[in-house]
Amino acid sequence: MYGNWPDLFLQALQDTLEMTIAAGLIAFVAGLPLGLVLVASAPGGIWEHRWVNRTLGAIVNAFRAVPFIVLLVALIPLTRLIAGTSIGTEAAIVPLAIGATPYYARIAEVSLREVDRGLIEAVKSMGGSRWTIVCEVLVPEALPGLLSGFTVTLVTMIGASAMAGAIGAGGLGDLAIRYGYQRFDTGIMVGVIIVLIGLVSLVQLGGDRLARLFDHR
Amino acid sequence: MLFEDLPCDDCILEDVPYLHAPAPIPEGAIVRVSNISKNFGPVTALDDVTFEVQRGEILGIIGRSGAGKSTLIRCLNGLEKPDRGRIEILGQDIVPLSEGALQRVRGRVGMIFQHFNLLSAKTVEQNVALPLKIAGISGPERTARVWELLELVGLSDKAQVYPAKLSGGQKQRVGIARALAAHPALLLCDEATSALDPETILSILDLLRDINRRLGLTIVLITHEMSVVRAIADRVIVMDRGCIVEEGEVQRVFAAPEAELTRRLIGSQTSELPSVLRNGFLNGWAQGMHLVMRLQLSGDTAQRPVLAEMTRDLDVLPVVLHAAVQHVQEQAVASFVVAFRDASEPLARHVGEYLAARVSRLEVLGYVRQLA
Repeated sequence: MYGNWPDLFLQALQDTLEMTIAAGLIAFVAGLPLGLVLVASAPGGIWEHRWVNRTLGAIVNAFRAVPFIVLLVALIPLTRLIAGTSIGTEAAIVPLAIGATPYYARIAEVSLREVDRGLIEAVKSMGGSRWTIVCEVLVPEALPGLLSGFTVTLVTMIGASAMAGAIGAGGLGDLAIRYGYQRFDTGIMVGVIIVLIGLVSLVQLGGDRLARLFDHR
Repeated sequence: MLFEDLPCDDCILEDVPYLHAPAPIPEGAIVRVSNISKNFGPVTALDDVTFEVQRGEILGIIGRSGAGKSTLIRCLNGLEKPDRGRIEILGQDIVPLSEGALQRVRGRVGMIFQHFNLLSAKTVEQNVALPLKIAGISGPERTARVWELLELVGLSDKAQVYPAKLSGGQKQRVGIARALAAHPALLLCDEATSALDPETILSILDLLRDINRRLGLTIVLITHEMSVVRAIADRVIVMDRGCIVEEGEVQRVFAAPEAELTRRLIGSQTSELPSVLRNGFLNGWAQGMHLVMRLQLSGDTAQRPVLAEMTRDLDVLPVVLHAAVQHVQEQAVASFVVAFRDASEPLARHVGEYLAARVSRLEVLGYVRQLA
């Protein structure tokens, strides 16, 4: 029905990848330190600070409680401030990253918390500082989990990016809704689903491979 | 492969001044613990503990689980802070130190663990290099020291292997190499052999003893196994419920244990009497009963034919029910359980007096009606 459908799909795929990768990297870079602080400041952690832990925990929970579609709209003023516009692919990166950061922080926290306390103690007993413990123990030992967690985050973000169509960001989800739902074009709908399945499978496969590469346990 | 182009074996170490100039260890006791106490909530882990560790000795601290020995050893490198008391390491009281100052002290105290605590994401070589990295030693100095240590523990061929691929004994060897890397003045062993099989335990204990003799390294080890203390310690501290109940040279403690707990810890080591005998002891004497005694000979007395002499001097015929000779640090400690048939009370007193003057330890176990 639409002669240019390969272009439609390519454009949508490109938009989705752009949003997910950019926002994903921001979430990784911001979420990992957040997760580290959450673990370190927890009772029995290497930098015990009850109120820091509670405050950060509360903020993370607050962001995670808000549904992404609501966050998308609620953050429009901030998005305009950062991206200069509130419409389009670049604009969607802001709420996506802000939504994914606390999500990844919690996932990273779980992986980091599972690092054997004995290892932390061993490095402490060598005279290692907190920073040494972070760099030599916490991050390297949790790396397989951190990478698997990042894969989960990316897959979730591919899903969330579909909603970014609501602020004109394009992407595969937007394509499926505009053509497949609003114009009753089942062919496009099925096509989008197939592309999404392929994309998610690739991300998962790559993530698993990477995690295994760093797993020496 | 990174190291193939290094000069071989012996000559590596010659050019590295650091290796031959570890920080000097001050004179006097390495560790001086005075009146430390520690509570965890309502639980008393340490109750007014005082002892010293002399330079070059191996001190064994033994006790059952929950005796406070783990807390005690963790106090020695500041992983745990006592509520009261002083802990001097190399002449410096570490109790009031800040975390930063403690880090410098810990650099001079190595520690090995029951579960090895090797970093799984690092190779053997990287694990051993870590304390050196923390101490700010880099480049060829670090590399040379790591290889010297791997050679010492016999794992040069495993340098590029990850710990998951090693056996328990090999892991503990890496742990030892790592603990020795930064030239510690003191090595703490926290149940270091408790997760190993009997054969491996011996090889690890041999390695520790060897390091102690060759490097003159002071070692404090905690364990719940008397066999570990017997094999390598010079001195032993027996702990119970946070207190020291006995302290002394291993020889003396094995030959003549004073505390009830020590006796039980040693006793559980030797094979016991048959249950027929053990359950048949009566305290009072009656006609036709047999007297059973446990006697222990150690040091010089172990060389003398005490039982034969007694037969000659007193004209009694002891029956040996159980005998064992253990070697405590290459010295024999012989223990016998002997019975005297139809022993009258005067005879019992006579034998007791005779033996008390000639053996290291004498214990009347009681009277039995039947010997087997």
